Formats: sequence, structure tokens, C-alpha cells
Amino acid sequence: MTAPARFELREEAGRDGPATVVALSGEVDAGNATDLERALRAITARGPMILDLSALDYFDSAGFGLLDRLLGEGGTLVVISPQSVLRAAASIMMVPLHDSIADAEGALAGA
Amino acid sequence: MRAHLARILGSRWTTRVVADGQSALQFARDHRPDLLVTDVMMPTLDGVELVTAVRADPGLATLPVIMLSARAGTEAAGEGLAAGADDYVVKPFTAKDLVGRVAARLDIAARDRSDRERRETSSERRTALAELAAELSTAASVQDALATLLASPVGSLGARSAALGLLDGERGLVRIAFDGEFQAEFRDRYHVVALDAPVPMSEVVRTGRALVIPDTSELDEPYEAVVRDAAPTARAAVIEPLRGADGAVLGALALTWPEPHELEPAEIEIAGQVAAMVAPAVARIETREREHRIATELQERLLGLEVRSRGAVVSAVYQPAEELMRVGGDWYTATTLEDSARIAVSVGDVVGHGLRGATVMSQLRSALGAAALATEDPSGVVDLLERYAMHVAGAECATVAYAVIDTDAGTVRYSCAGHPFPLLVAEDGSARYLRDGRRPPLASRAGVSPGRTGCSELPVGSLLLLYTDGLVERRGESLGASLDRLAAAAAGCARLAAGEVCRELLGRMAPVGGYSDDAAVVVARPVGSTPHSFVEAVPADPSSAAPLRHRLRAWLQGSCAQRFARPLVHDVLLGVGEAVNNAAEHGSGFDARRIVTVEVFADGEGVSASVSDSGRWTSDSAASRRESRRGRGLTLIHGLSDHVTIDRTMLGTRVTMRYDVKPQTRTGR
Repeated sequence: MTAPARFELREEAGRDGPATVVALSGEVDAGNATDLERALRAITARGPMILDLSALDYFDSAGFGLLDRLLGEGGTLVVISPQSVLRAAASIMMVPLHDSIADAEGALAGA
Repeated sequence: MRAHLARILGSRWTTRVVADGQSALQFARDHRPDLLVTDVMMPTLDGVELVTAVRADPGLATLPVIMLSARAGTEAAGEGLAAGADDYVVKPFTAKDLVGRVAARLDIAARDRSDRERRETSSERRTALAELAAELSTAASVQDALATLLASPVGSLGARSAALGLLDGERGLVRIAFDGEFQAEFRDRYHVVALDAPVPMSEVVRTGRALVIPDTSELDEPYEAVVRDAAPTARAAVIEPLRGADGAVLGALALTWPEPHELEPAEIEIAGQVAAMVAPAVARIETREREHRIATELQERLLGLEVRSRGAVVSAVYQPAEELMRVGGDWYTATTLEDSARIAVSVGDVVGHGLRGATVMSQLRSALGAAALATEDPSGVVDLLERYAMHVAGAECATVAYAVIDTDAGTVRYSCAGHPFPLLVAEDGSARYLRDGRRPPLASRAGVSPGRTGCSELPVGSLLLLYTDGLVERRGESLGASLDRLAAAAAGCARLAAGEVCRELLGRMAPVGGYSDDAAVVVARPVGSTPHSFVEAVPADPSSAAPLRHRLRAWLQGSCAQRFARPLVHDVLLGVGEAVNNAAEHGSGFDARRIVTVEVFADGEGVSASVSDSGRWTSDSAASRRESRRGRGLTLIHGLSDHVTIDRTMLGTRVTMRYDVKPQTRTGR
């Protein structure tokens, strides 16, 4: 394999609540973080976003950097399930996160 | 009389009355009163005899004694004073008179006592500080000086951690050494800070004024980042400037406490005294290290190893003779051959040292580099070198070991002119000397003496070691015994990154008292993977990272003999990925001609991964804050692995991460 990192972005429409739910899979690194940021900003421009990173295989410092920027602006909630391989890295980077989409939706409704 | 005294004194002090001199002495010995009042005339032991006995007793020698004398100005009073009474009161006396005398005497005694205690404490302190100064004057390194300081309860003021910053005026940097409880990540983040960085240590070096910080959380906003990063170890600090003999600031010394901590003025004074003792020690260490560094740097610059081969990981080290500040006649080279899958390495040794030795060394080394490109056969290359050496004064009897590693063919072909045998270390640690391809030293007799090329398999996973005799030779030891010692030392290095092998061998082979001759070592490891190791060399280019990661993942989840849980595999990939990013960006400036190497070893206990580049990270805390990308990378590297070492040498930077298998993450799959 000599391919660069690729991610897949799936928008889940039709759920209850005001937030767009976005599930990512694949890999995010310095090579594609800019593309991802552009795609996510197009979504946050429309309203709140629940970003589920649980299925990603790889997410490096470039990814955490864009996450910090999105979180700093508000309107984004991050979901990383306890089983996700990203979980340890996310807690080291002190990313505020939710265990599941339902949790995040609850937090959004309660806010 | 006794009842009268008891009444007068008992109104102000706890008073005990006894019947005679003997009882008084016994009571004083048993109960250590603050003051004794005695009559002159008493049964068994009179007043004068009592005072004499009291003064003769070391435990009572300072007990204040007041004598009551019936006859003013008589001999008894004089005798009592001569025997050691502190005062006398003439009978008859008023209550007020006696109380006044006793109170005055107790006052004086109290003052004497506190003076004495202060004198004792300050003399203890002086003694402890003098001992510390003596120990510091023999400290061999800055690290050693810090450890010595922390081991002294008086000198460290009870601080649990200390840091010592040294000014690099030329580059506008402060290089900081840490000891005590500072965490590895903090040490790596702050080992170099800019002189104008918002870090208290920099401020003290910049201004030359001491800082006393009882609680770091009360520092101003610009210090926010360092305050947060240091909080687990340093919530309070005293930072003193270190000044050279000429008064110029050399650096600063910080003592830190993990909790807020108020320092008394006397303690702040001690911190200043300690800084004044540390400064000359550091100046001495710096001078010595600078001399040593100049010799090493000069040699390493002369020898510069810029490996651009993707066929093998190559590392080298040069160790100057311990006591001599001089360049030597030892060299090493690594030459990437045109097809880039083959790489030529050599070590050589010219007779003689100093500038002349270095000049000859340099000439032979260049000639060898050119010859390596001119012909393929190693003995043909050494033939060319020898023909050249015949015309170089001072090249007589120079020795060289030259080897060409062909990773695709899995072989090493070599020629050895009067030089110690190359050593091949298999992945399982078994070591074998390559004894073919021998020929006499260069230019040792008229005419070139062609030799045959030796050839051996060089399987993936194994190591090739070339070295000069300074590494192995010991006075009074046979060559065979020396070689056995090297083989044993090398066997323990089979699963270490090439750069670590160099350092480890120098350490393991070091004679007591240091190297008496200079030594050069080259270690080469072909790229490729086995069930136990994964070795690659990739261009220092951002586009290398993802494909490398995919290959490493495939290895960890495929041909690797161990099966690791998904989170551990992920953490290894992320740590290696971040280290590769740093190496490509900061170590190589994304210069794609440069190479970043990755060496990963797996066993039942876990994974060790080393990432090396050929540059020097020009870092400071401003560039490596947690918020910056580089800073995040360091946080991940440290946070996800169980142990990290970052090694910086003239030849480059190497990050080694260790990931231990946790019982709950071991899988049976």
C-alpha cells in the first residue's frame, strides 16, 4: 500500500434534534486534515454538529489541532466510544468527549 | 528562710525548695531547672561547694546560679562568684529585689541560649554548605552537580527538584538540565528555551535578578503555559542567577517545590550562597565539556555522515581519547552507491594523531569515497585507495575495513587492510567475525598488494559492525580476549536501534578511567522485516508518512510473530507517526533527499520503536507548546508510550519509544 491517508465522512440525516450527526472512518493525518476541516466547517456553518470519531483507525496531531479549533468555536460535540482505539490519545489531548451519540444529543438537549 | 523563698519566687515561677546542698545538686541533675538560688550556709554541701559542683557538671555548666549572702562584701560572696555563681543578693533583701535579680538572670540566660542555638545552627549550616561546595567542586557534569545539590538537605532547602539553565548567548537560548521529579515530557519540552521566552528561568538569565515564587499560580498571564506544564513538580520556586568570575550571567539555578512554599529570608540567603557555589562548578564543567566537545565536533564535522541510502540504517560514533583534547586519526564513512539499494561503509585508522593525523585521515577518507564510486568490488576499491596512499606522506600503515551492503541480495562484501575484523550480529544475538578478505595495512611495503574480497550473507534483522582498535584494545589483554569481549557486548545489542547500538557499545566497552585511545564505530542494519523486527528508511517528505504507517500496520497485524491488541497497535502507529513527522519537519526541514529511519522491535513484552533523523531539532518552548502541532506530537509521543528517550547528537536526533503489553490488552488471537 502506498496510498495517502483517506477518510470517509457520513452525514446521518433524519435524526431527532437540531444537530447534524457526522460519523468519520478511515485515517486523518497531516496529509488530509485540511480537507477534513473544510468539509466539517461546511457543516458547522449550518448549525450544531455531533462528530463521531469512534470508527477512525488513525487520527494524529494534525487532527487534534483541527478538533481544538472547532471545539474552541463552540457548536461541536465529539463522540468517541470507550471501545475506540482513539480513546487513549483523545484523553491525553484532553478532548472533551461523549461516549455515544445519544449522550451527546442528551448534552445538547440539556444545555 | 526556705518558706520565705518559696513564697517570693513561687508567685512567678515554678519553684522547688530543698533542704541542703547535696539535695540541691541531685535535684538539679535530675530536673534541669532554669535557675538555682542557693544560700551560702547549708548542711552537707555549702553554697560555694554546690556552685563548684554545678560548674563541674557538663550538663549543668550553663545553669544560672544566684547566691544569697548574709554578709555584704565578705569573702563568702567573693568565693561564691569565684566558684562560678552568676550573681549574689545580700541578706536581708526585699521580695522585689530578689524577683528582679532572678528575672534579669533568666532573661540573660534565655538570650544566651538562643544565641548559642543560632550559632550552632549557623555553624551546622556553614559546615553543610562547605561540604556541598567541596562535593560540587568534583562534580563531573551538570547533571551530577544537580544530583549533589538535591542530596544536600541544607543546600537544597528541602526542594525535591532542581533545574539548571545555561546561557547559549550565540544562539539566544537557555539550555536546561533537570533533576528530581520533573516529568520526561516536561524535560523534553523545556530542555531548550529562547532567552526571550516567557519562562521564569529565561527571565532570570536575561535580567540577572533572582526570582522567588512562593506560588506559581500567582504569576502573570504570559507565564501561563509553563506554569501549567510545571505544576505537578513546581508550584513554588526560587531561581538564582549563576555568575562567572567576571560577574557575567552564565545561567540560573532553580529549586522547586510541588506545593506552594514560603521561604524565610535566611533561606533565600542560602539559595544565593548555593548559587555562588554552583556557578564556579558549572563554569569548570562547561570549560571541560567545551574542550571535549570541540574535539568531538571537529572530528564529527570532518567525518560528517549524511546517509541517503534507503537500503540500510547506518549510524556512527566517534569517541575521542578521554584525557586529550585533540583530533585523531580514526575515521568512518558511509557512501550511498548509485543504485541506492547498496551502501558502502568503512572505518579506518591512520598512524598518529593531531592535525597531521587528521589531515592524512581526511585525504584517505575522501579518496575512499571516490574509489567506492569508481569500482564495485571492495578489494578493487581498497586497491585504488592503496595506490593513492602510496603518494601520501603519513599514510604508511594506515588500516581500513571497507564493506558494501547489498540489501536486495542480502549480502555484505568486504575487504580488510590490516584492520580488526568486521563483526556480524544475527537477530538472535549470535555474533560472528568476518575473517576473510584480509590484506596487509595500506602502503606498508613497496607496491600494491591486492587482496581477495570476502563475502557473507547479511540477512534482514542482522547488524554489521565496523570499529577501530581503540574500541577493543586493552593493555595486557590478548586480541582474542578483546574480540570475545566485543562479541559478548554486541550480542546484547541485537534488538536496539543502530544509534543506540553505537552508544551502548561505547558504554559497555569503556575501560576503567575512560578511553585512552580514540575510537570510531559504524553500525549498519539492512532494511526489511522479520517476525521480530521492522526496519525502513524513507525520504524526509510529508508524503512518506501514510505509506510507512500502512506498511507498519500490516507488519504488526501480519508477519510479526507477536499479536498485539488493537489499542497497542494504534498507539505504536501514532507514536511512530508523530516522531516521523517531527523528524521530517524539524530534523530535516522536509528535505526529501534526507532520510528518516524507523526501527521497530517486537517481543512478548511489547514493542520498541526508534525514529532517527540526521538533523538537530532547533526547538524551544515557544515552538513546542502543547497548542502547536509539534507540541501536540510530543504530548502524544510521551502520553501513549511507557518510556521515551530522545537522544540528540551531532549526527542527528533519535526518539525511542517503548510500549509495554498490559495484562488486559494481551489477546490470545
